[in-house]
Parts: sequence; C-alpha cells; structure tokens
Amino acid sequence: MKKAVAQIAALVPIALLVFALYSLYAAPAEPPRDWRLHMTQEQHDLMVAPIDHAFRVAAYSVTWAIQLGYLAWLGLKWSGLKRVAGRASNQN
Amino acid sequence: MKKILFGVYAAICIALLVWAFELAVNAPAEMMQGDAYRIIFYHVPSATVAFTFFAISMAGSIGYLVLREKNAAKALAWDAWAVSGAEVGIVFCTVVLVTGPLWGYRAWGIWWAWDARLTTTLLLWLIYVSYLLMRRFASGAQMRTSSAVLGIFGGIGVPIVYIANRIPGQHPGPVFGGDRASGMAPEILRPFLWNMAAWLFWGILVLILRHRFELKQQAIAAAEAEQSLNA
Amino acid sequence: MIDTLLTHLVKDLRIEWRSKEAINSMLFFSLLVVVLFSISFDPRGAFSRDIAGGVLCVATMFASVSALNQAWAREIRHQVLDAQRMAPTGGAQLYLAKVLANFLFVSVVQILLAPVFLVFYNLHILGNAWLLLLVLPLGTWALVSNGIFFAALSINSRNRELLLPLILFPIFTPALMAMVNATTGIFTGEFDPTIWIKLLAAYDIIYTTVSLLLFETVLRSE
Repeated sequence: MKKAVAQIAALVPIALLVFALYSLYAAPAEPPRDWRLHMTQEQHDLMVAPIDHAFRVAAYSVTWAIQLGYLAWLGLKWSGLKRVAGRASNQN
Repeated sequence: MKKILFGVYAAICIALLVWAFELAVNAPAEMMQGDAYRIIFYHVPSATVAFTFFAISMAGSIGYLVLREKNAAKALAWDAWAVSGAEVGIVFCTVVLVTGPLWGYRAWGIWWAWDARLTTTLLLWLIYVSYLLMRRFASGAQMRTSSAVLGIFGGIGVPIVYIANRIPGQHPGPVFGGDRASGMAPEILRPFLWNMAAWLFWGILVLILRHRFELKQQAIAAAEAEQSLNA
Repeated sequence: MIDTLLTHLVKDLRIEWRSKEAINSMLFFSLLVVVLFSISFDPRGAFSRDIAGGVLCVATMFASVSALNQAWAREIRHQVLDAQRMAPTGGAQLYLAKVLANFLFVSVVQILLAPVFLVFYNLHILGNAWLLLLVLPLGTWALVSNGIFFAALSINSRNRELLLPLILFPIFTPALMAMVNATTGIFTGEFDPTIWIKLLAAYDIIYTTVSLLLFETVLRSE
C-alpha cells in the first residue's frame, strides 16, 4: 500500500511536467509577423487565444509539478529518516 | 491532537487553492492584456511567498548566530527555520522563474530580460542555492555557523542588486502604489487577494512540513551523538 | 592594533615574495582567459570596446579565485590557523591584512596585464581613462574582500576549492555588474559611469564592514 502511494507521489509531478511540455509542443502555430496585412484584429485574437491558453495550462502544470515534486522528494527523505531512526532505536 | 489540527489546516489549504483557482479561471478578461494577465494569480503570490520565506531564512541565520553560545537548543531551532525558509523559498522562486518566461514570451515576445526584478530574482535564487550547497559540503558544527554567515551576506546582497538595476525595463511596473494609472479593478482584486491568501497558506504548510523534517533530523543526529558518547 | 595588522601583512608579503606562487598562477591564468575570450568573441573595431570591460572584469575574477583558494591553505598547513586563533589579537586584523596582501597581488597582475589587454583588443579609450584608476581598485577590493572571507568560510568543507566560486560568484554579482558597466562606460565614452562607481564604492563599504564584524565568528566557529 505504502509503496503504491510512494510511486504515485513520485509519478504525478513527472506526469505534470510531461503534460506541460506537451502542451507547449502541441500549441498551434503563431500568426505570421505581417498578420496585419492578412487579417483583422479580431481574427488575430481568435488565432492567438489557443496559444495563450496552451501557455497558461503549461504554466499551471509546471507550478504544480514543482510543488508536488518537492513534496514527493521531502516525503522520500522523511521515510529514509524513519528507517535510520528505527535502526538506531533497535540498537539500543 | 497536533496531527488532527495539521490535517484540518491542510484541508483548508487545499480548499482555498481550489476556490482561488475557480476565481482565477472565471475572472473577467483584462483590457490591455486579454487573458494573459492571469499570471498574477500564481506568479505574484509565489514571488511574495518566496521573498517572505527568504526573509524568514535570514532571520533564522541571525537568530542562530546570536543564540548559539548562550542557548544551544534554541539556536538549533532558529537554524531549522533558516534552512527550511531557504529551501521552500527556493521552490517558490523556481516557480516564479519558470512561469515568468512562459508569460513573458507571449506578452513581450522574449523569454528573458536583464532588468531589475528579473535579475534580482535570479540572483536571489542563485544565492540561496549556494547556501544549500554550503550546508551540504561543510561538516560539523561549523557548517551551521558558516551557512548562517553566508545567509546574512546573501540577505544584504539582494537590495544592492535591486538598486543596481533600477532602470525602467521590461517587467511591468508596480501595480499597487504606482502612478495614477496603477491600481487594480475590483473584479480582479478580489480573485487576486484570494489567490494570494491561498498560496500563502500553502507555502506555510510546506514550510511547516520542512521545519518538522529538519527538527526530526536534528533529534536523530543528537541521539546518535549521545549513543556514540555512551557506547 | 596597527602593529598586528602590519605584522600579518608583512608575513604574507614575505611568503609571496619568496614563492611567488599566487602572482605567477594568477598572471598566467588571466592571460589565458583573455586569449580564450578573444578567440571566442571576435574583438574587432567598436564592438571590442563594448565587451572589453566585461572581459577584463571576468578575467580578473577567474584569476583571483586561483589565488584565493590558496590564501588560507598556508595557514592550515602546520596548524598555523590554530596558533592564530590562540593569539590574543583580534581576527579582524588577520582578515584585513590578508585582504590587503591579496589586493596587492591582484592589482600587480592587472597592471601587468593592462598593456596585453590594450594590444589584443586594439583599445582606444574614448571616455575618461583616469577613472579606471578608481574603478579597477574598487572592483578588485570588492572581489578580494569577499573572496578572502568566503575562502575562510569554506575552509572546513569537503570540496574547498569547488565551493569557493559557488558561494562567491552570486554574492559578488552586484559588484561585477557595477565594475563591468563602469569600465564599459569609460572605454566607450557613451555614458557616465559615475553612478556605477558610487554603487561599487557603497558595495565595498557595506561588505567590508560586515566582513570585519563577522570574521571573528567565522575564525572561532570550530
């Protein structure tokens, strides 16, 4: 049970990070630099909105990847400490 | 009892975060930046938390240096705050440094700029990473003293860097207390304050966890030392 | 107090005079750095003036680290440092004397390197060249005073030589910024370097004061 929890705790941040990178990778192409010659402001905004959304999703995913990754790392160190403490008290 | 209280606090934190996220997603679009302004809902609170925790770390370093000869136990407690503040501060600072460019690329077209706030934030991150490296490489009782001194040096350096860079640059100017055009519309202020509270609560939760871990580590080290003395 | 300071200073200078290890290694290392940068960034024409300031400061920085690493090594050999701790004099004089001695060594290297630098970069200094006599010593002082202090901090660590640059460079960065901007302003003559010189001076005063106050703590931290 504990091992399963530990594995999930380690995998979630990695999954979030991968998701963030994928979100950036899969963002639609940007409009060309001379878009003002081809389209109106509204059309440009419609084109740009999904790209902004992709970046926003990536930002939130990365934020939680970092936060949960740190907690997972702390949890790993904590369980390592428990083992050390267990051994020390066994020696007494 | 303590565990129950902590569990309740953790539940409150998660509830706050969910509520704040809900508000952030549903806040109205802004006039100038469209939807891109929403970075203030996680980037600005993370920066605030990071800087606050770095200040806590510096206070811990000073406390350790002042108390270490008079009251060793208390000094260790301050040292625990120093290292916890530094480590959790680095986590939040990393969030700031990663989400900033993700916004900047869409808003300004560039990933990075070497102006006041960005350079200061990067340097702060570097200084506290070097603080953690110092703690890892040094050994024994000198480690705490040396790293406390380094923590103080780092804390002094930050305002100096900030002043060195205070030329108007890329980073948006102050929203609060800036010129007449600054200030936040109430529809955005409310979600912003909720997000600030949520991230602050979350930051304190992580800080408490790290602090507990450090105290536990100190206790084990002390027990081992006593064991080897009595052996 | 001054006697103690002079005693420490003369001791360091005499050791260096006899062995010349710090100056030789620094000189050769900074020459190598200048050559490497010249190869990496093509130093032609006006562009050379823009980057020359930065190259000079970075070359000084890397060269000093090699000297700073061995600054305390002499004291650790034969338990000289323990003797220093037991001496009734304060740590501040020891610190200040070491800073003065190393400041002298780095300045000698800079003076010897300056003609080489002017030649490699074909420098015509467009601004007020005399200000360099203010900027370079201030920058060197910042580097050496911080470096000696952090070298003392890292004495008891496992990877002493590796740790010193890691903890020195982030803290030294504001001074580096001020030094690079001031020298670029002097070389190019495009802007007034006064504010950067003021910042550098303020940095020196603040950090030297804090180092003097905290050195006693570091020396007796064992």
